[in-house]
Amino acid sequence: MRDRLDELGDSTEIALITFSDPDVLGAYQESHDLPFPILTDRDRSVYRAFGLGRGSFGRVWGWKAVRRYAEIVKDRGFGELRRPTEDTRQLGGDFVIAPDGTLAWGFWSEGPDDRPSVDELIAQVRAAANP
Amino acid sequence: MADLARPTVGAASPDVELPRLDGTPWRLHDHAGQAVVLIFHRHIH
Repeated sequence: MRDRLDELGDSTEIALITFSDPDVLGAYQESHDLPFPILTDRDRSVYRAFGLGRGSFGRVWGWKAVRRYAEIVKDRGFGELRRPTEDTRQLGGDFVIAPDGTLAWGFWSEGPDDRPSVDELIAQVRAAANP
Repeated sequence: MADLARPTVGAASPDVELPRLDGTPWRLHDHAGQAVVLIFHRHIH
């Protein structure tokens, strides 16, 4: 996404919303070179307002997640694994708000690997900006 | 857990007012006239 921001046009505002501790997010923003604001929603009230709840244990911690962690251990050893300090079952999502303030499009993730493609997101932003 | 109600596509977006990392507020309505993309992250740590 970061590499294709110019395709969204100069007037599109992007914001990343997290519920993480703000103390750790500065390093996250710097390490990922994010050129847009990170907003913190500690009580997840905005997550709930957009209908983003928690996934089932089986969906979030399915075999894909187990395989991913196995790959980390294989490549880097157990030292790279850390116990999560946040709610790993909170689901994410992506939304496009039209210039008139209406919700133009939404994607509600059903699991950790369920995200829209960048092509889809760009197409939805263009449709919202040029109805 | 019961599913949360989702906002309706085509209706007014839920309001958003959240702090940036420096503590200053970011408000959705300050960006009227622009398309806005909101990316809700899963956990980071």
